[in-house]
Parts: sequence; structure tokens; C-alpha cells
Amino acid sequence: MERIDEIITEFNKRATARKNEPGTENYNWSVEENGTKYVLPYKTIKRVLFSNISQKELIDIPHSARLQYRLMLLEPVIKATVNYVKGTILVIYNNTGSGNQKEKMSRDEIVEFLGTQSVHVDPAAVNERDYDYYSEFFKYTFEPQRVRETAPYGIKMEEWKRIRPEYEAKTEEQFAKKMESFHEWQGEYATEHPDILKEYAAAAAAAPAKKGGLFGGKKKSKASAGGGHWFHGL
Amino acid sequence: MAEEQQIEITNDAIADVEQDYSKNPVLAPYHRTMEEIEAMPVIEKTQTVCPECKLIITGTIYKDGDNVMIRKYCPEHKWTVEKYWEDYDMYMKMRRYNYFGRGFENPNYISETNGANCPFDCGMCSRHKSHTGLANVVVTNRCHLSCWYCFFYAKEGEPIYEPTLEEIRHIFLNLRNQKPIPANAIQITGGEPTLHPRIVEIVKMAKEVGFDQIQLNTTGITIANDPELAVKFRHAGVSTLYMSFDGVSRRANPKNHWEIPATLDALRKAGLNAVLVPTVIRGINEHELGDMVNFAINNSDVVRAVNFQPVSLVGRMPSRQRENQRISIPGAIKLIEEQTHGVIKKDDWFSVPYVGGINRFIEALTGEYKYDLSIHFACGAGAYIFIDSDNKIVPLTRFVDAAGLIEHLQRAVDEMEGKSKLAKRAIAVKTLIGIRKFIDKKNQPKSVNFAKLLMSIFLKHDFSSMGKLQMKSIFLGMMHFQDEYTYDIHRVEKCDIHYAMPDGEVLPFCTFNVFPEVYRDKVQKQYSIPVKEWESSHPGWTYSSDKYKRNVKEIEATPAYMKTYGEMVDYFALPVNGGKSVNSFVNETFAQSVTVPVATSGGMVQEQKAAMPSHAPQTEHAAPTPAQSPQPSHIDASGTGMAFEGAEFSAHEEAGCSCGCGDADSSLGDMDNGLGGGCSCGGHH
Repeated sequence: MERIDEIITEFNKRATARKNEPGTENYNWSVEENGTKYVLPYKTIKRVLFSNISQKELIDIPHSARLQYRLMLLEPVIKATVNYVKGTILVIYNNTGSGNQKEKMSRDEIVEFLGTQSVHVDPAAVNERDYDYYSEFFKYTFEPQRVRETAPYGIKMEEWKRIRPEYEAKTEEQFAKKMESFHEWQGEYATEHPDILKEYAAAAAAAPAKKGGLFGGKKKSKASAGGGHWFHGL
Repeated sequence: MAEEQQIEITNDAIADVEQDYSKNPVLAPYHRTMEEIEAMPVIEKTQTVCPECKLIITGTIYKDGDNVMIRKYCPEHKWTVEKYWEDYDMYMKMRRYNYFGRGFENPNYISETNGANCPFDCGMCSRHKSHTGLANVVVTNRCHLSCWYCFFYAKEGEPIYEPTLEEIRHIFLNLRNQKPIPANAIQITGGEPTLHPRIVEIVKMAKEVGFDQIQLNTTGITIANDPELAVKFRHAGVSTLYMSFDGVSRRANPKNHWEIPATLDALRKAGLNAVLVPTVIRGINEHELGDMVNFAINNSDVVRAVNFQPVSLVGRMPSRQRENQRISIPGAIKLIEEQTHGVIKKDDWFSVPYVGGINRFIEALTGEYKYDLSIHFACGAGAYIFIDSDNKIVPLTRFVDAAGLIEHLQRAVDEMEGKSKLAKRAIAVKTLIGIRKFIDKKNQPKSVNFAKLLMSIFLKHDFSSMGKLQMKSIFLGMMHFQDEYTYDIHRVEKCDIHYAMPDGEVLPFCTFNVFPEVYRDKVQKQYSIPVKEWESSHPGWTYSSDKYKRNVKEIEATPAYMKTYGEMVDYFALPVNGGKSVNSFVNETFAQSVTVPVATSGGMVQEQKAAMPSHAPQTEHAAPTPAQSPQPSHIDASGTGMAFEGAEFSAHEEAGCSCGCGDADSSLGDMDNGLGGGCSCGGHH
């Protein structure tokens, strides 16, 4: 264990020394999505796939998982996947020359690190390409695709597919009503605390008074509005 | 086996020889020979990790007397034996409610291995079995305290993680986009989230994107010092303050003991409520569990729940220290039974996935997704206690046959599958009529009509009615997060308390926090601001400028402090509850408080003790008569004989402690924080 700690520390030291390599001084990468700017730590980095890895060297799935964990301990490695069944190692990493101000390493160093773990790379089975951090990783994690569908309990899938649009429309309608009700409560609450919520209290006072509750029924009691949820963190 | 049994000669090993552990029920299971351990009855097998090298290995869960233990063998690091659950019968009872939930239809990370390398394939992948029940979003890693056991705040020199409003909104929307069930409950956390300069706007934003339940995970200190903030939070949409509370006494709760009274007062005025969250550590605060429940009852107008969290021993730790500090859910539950003299028994608790039975019934009836609390049975437990009009404490299970009720509902769910809407309604009516037989009206609290309440839940088709239940009760929860020693991959793949990260990934609590080096810290560092950059954009800021300094003497002289700690009623000592004082109960005395107004002086407090505290729930609870009210005890709560006088704390402050802990004891619980500080908090001296 101490040995692996030392190895990782050594590789990370090297990676840290390259954080501010020449050409990174003015790095300031961000993307704009629907008018919102997101500052991203990486722009174009590398994705390398090592194939034909001997299963004997990977030992078994648990050892492959541990190798994956150890690869992820390297600071420039963003994601790693060690697939014992296919005999592949996929590493997405911040390469030297990528221009950003984060820790960097080279592909040769990854190969060197794998060597320390008794895993040898076939030079003919290395496939490396540029990896766009924003479009290939960030954008996906924030907009993941549906990979399966499940129906509510007690409902068969065929039935669910039929009633799903109705359910989605109802959910949207409920959300709109809920927000309207919350805003109404906010106005009432602001008038109870005019000194603290001046701006809201003034807006609530200016709004036309409603008879009864939101839909003309009995007004919601202050005690239960917006609170009293049963779920407390379990 | 011969190789596996080699024992390293360490100080611990020498101590083992010298001490007879067989007489110590807490430590004995750790100190058996491997032959003895392997002869124990096996309950089940799971996948776990080696705490040293993180190799995925088989974990064997076995019975050792009353304990449930886990043993695992790493070819390199040999055996690890750890306590998993401290009550075999309870383990088997809770296990009955285990079920698999649905996970995500749109997992945030596609793992090429389909989760075969779990927990190192996380992000979260398609293998995961539960949707997000509670989403945690870290809005800053700055904190105004420096608690010795906390691993979650920026220490000197570490980069600052404080996402912008736009980035936080992006994370919120990601959670709301989850399918089939969007995250609906969120916990805004840190560090100390109230240090984020735009925290009120963050809450507002969470509400606007559609979260129903918004919890703010805080020490409450900022609110104590700025009570108006509570009103702003409530207005913005905070539902609950999820507030650290490690004990009633100063010694057990150096973190925020002094500020709690002012915080609770601010919440009262704002109409907000709180969940008290004690981290339970054996040898530190486990003697005050019953007292914490009593504190919650005393403040039940504002405290809705106590959520005990047995400590998660994250990080490498000497085995001796681990054995002494380890406490599991049933361990804490049994202590509560002991400390409340059986008023709250271990049989009053149910496992969290139990609630899934109610959800499944409503879902089947309405054809709409409902929250699916499909977590592992060993992760959490809960109990409802009602405070009746005569101050009697009545746990829910004393008048509801919980197990029978769930089986009854599950039969209905099975029957409904594939039936027409009309047929489903007929089944539902039959089922609802049958519910009454599971409720014992004779033992039901006078102020509660549980059958009516359940009907209202089922007929309204959502859980807002449960809110009304909360108004008449206190929820006691247990949530035991894992560490490398107890790690069980079957538990983590069912986790529903998730962290949403700035890179779009979503992680189970026990992956995020148990392997921070590849998840939490790694990703937060990628999105953090280097200290120099932070300092240049925040002139005058230093790590220590964030730290809170309290004036103990001044706080202890405030009416709120005196009332909260000086006028507590020991509800367990009332004749209606058996008449035995709860463990560690003590009302403070304020003889030193000479500077306070006469109306709140010690003498007045003594007089007021005979009356019901003004902040107690007077509408539903009759005031205990003077005869019922326990006399204030002057015994030191810590049981150490150490005097907690204001002057001593002030001296501590004057001596230069900047941590805000207010602790005068330099050897609290024999815990060496390793930081060389004299106080228990590990703060900077």
C-alpha cells in the first residue's frame, strides 16, 4: 500500500509541476448555453483506449476495478474504465499541451503507470483522439439520455405508454398551480414581516386582493402553507 | 488458513493479551480468533472493499451473539472484522422490508462496464437501484467552524469551491430532469451554506425550479446572530433547517450549544422548523441520546424531528479507536430505550423502506409515480412519537400494527396490477375499509385520529397530509452512513441520498464521501478557485476571517439561553410516562449570571421552572403541574465533575481559542485531535 501511495504521489507531483506550463497564462475557457456562461476546467483533452490487454495481467474484475480506482487517483485523469471482460482500459485525461491550468500528464506516463501495476500495453492497440470535455462529457451528464423506461407500480407497461402523456400534462399543470399558490403565500408572508421583506411586502400590497384562496375556495391556513412536509432527510 | 491467521505484534495485540475482552459486550466481537469467527452463523454475503487497498472483496455478514458483524479478507491486507448492526433480531425484522426500487431511466453517466466495477464506476450508472430521494448540493466549502471530525471544509491553503448562481441553477435543473421521478427534496449544504453571499437567492432558485422540500444544512449560528435571515429563508422557500445538534450539554455539543436557543427563537418568529441532527459517537455523546429527544419534545413547536447519525469512521483509523467509537443504528436505538426507561422501545422503530409499502399502494391506485424510499434496510430507521394532551409520549407502533398494515397494502398492490380503473378503485375501497383493523383506537393518543389521517393521505394521493401528522408528533430518524470498514455495495447501489456535482455527475452519499479522493475532492478541486485568485477577488479575506468567535459569557446571560436550558421539563420523569428521569437530564443554573436583568435572573428561572415553558406547545400539551415538574438538578451533565462556569469559558476564549467551540476541557473524551490544540474542536489556536 505504501508503495502504491508513493507511486501515485510521484506521478501527481509531476502532473502538478505542469499545471502552469507555458501558454496557459491566459486560459479562461467557458461555454455559453442558453445565454448562461459556464466556466469549464478543460477544453480539448485526450481520450485513449488501450486494447488487447491481457486478462492475466488484469487478474479479475475486482483487480480491474482497483486498477480503475488507482488510475482515478492520478490528478490529470478525469475518468477511467478498466474492462476486464473486453481487456480494455479507457482513460480520459488532461494531456500535456492542453493549454489549461490543471494538472497534466502524457500518454507515455499513463503507460508507465500501468507498467508499475504490472499491466503492459500493446503499442499497436492504442487508439488516442482529442476529447471535447464540453460536448462529450459535461453536456451529456447534464442532459442524459433515457436508457430504459419503467411503469409505476401496479401498472403494466402497455397501459403506462398509453396514459403517460396524460400524466405528464397533469404534472405540469400541478406544478403551475403549486407555484401560483406558493407565490400567493409569499405575498401574505411578506405583509406579516414588512420590515424585513420591504420590497416583497410593497409588491404584495400593490397586488389586487383575492377573495378566498387561489381558486376561490377556503383560504389556506398560514401554518400549513409551504411547510410541514413529512420528509426530513431519510 | 495458517497464513491468514498470522498476527502482527503491535501495541494493540499486546493489549489484547492483557485484557479479557470476553467480558466486554461492545468489544468482544472484535477480539475473537478467526476459527471462532468463521464458526459463527452466516446471514448473507455481499461485496465490499478492502479499507486499505480498495480491492473489491466478498464480505460475509454473520451473527455473533446479539451482534451482526461483517468480515472480509483481502489477500494483501488480511482480515477486517467490523460491527455492522448491533441487534440480530432487529436486523432480521428490518430485512423483511427490503426491496429494489427503479433507479434512473436517464443515468448521468454511461459506464462501459455497466457498473461491474462498482463503486468505482459511479456517476451515477444504470446499475443504481433507487432514484434521488434527497439531493445534496454543496454551495461552498468555506465554514465558520473547524470541527475536528469534519472532512468537509476548506482548510488553510486549500482551494475554495463556491459555484456561481448560474452553476448552481444548472445543478438544480439537472436534478429536476431526472426520470422517472425528479428529485423533489433538496439539501443545500457546505461547508456552511450561509457563508455563500447569495444564499437566499439560491433557496429562491431551488423553489422556482420546483423542489418541494428545501432543507438548509447549517449550524444555525448565522441565524442566531442575524434572526432576520430566518424570515428571508422562509420567504424564499426553506422548509426545514437541518441543524447540527450533537447534544444538550456544552460538553457534548461544543459546536453550537450556545447559539441553539437564539436560532430556535429566530425560527419560531419566522414560522420555520428544524430537524436536529446529532452525530452519535460512542464515548463522546452517546449518553445524551434520550436527553436530546427530551430537548426536542421541549421545543416541539419548532423541532419536527431528530435525525441521529451514528458516526461514519471515514479515513484510516487505528483499530482500537474505531472499536471504541463505533456505534450502529440499533446500538443508538437501544441506548434511547435504556435512557428513556422503555418509553421509546427498540420495537417502536421501523426501517425506511417500510414506507415504500404505502407509496406503492398510492402509486398503484393513482397511476402516478410517487417517491420510492427503496434504500437498503440497514441504512436508516425511523419512529414517530406523539405527545398527547396529557403529556404522555406515545410511539406510533403502540397503536398501529405497522407490519400488518404494510402487508395488507402490498396485497392490494399485487391485486391491482393489470386491472381496470374501476376494479382498482373497488380494491382500494376494500383495502381502506380494512385499514381500521390495524389501528388500536384504545391506545391511540387522544389528540390523534390515525385512521382519519391515513384516509386523508390515501384519498389526497400525496403525502402533504403527513405534514399534519408531523405537527402532532416528533419524527425520530437514524441514518448510518458507511465507511470503508462497513462498506456494503448492496447498500450503496440502493442509496437515495445523492450529491449532485458541478460536472453533472450524481453520486450516492457513501460513494461521494467514502472515496472523496476519486469523487468529491477530485471534482470539487477541478471546479474550485485557487486561493490566490480567491484572495485577489475578495480583498481582506483570509481563512480565519470566516471563523466564528463567540462570547460565551454574553450568550449565557441572554434570556433565550437561560430559558432554553434552564426551564426544560423532563417529560420522561412525568408520572404519565413512568416517572423516571431521562438519562443526563439537567437544567442549567445561572448563579453566575449577575449581569442579566432581574426578570431573567437565576431566582426567576427557578420560579418559572414550576410552570410550563412559554415556548412549549401549549395548545396541545397540558402544562405539567409543579408536582410533576422535575426539580432542577445541579449535577454536571457530563458526569465528569467538571464545572462549566461562564468564567472558565471566557478564560478559554481569552486564552486565544478562535475556533468558536467554547470548550474549556482539553481532554474531551480522550480524543486527541492530532492538531496539537487544547480544545476538542481542532480549531486553530
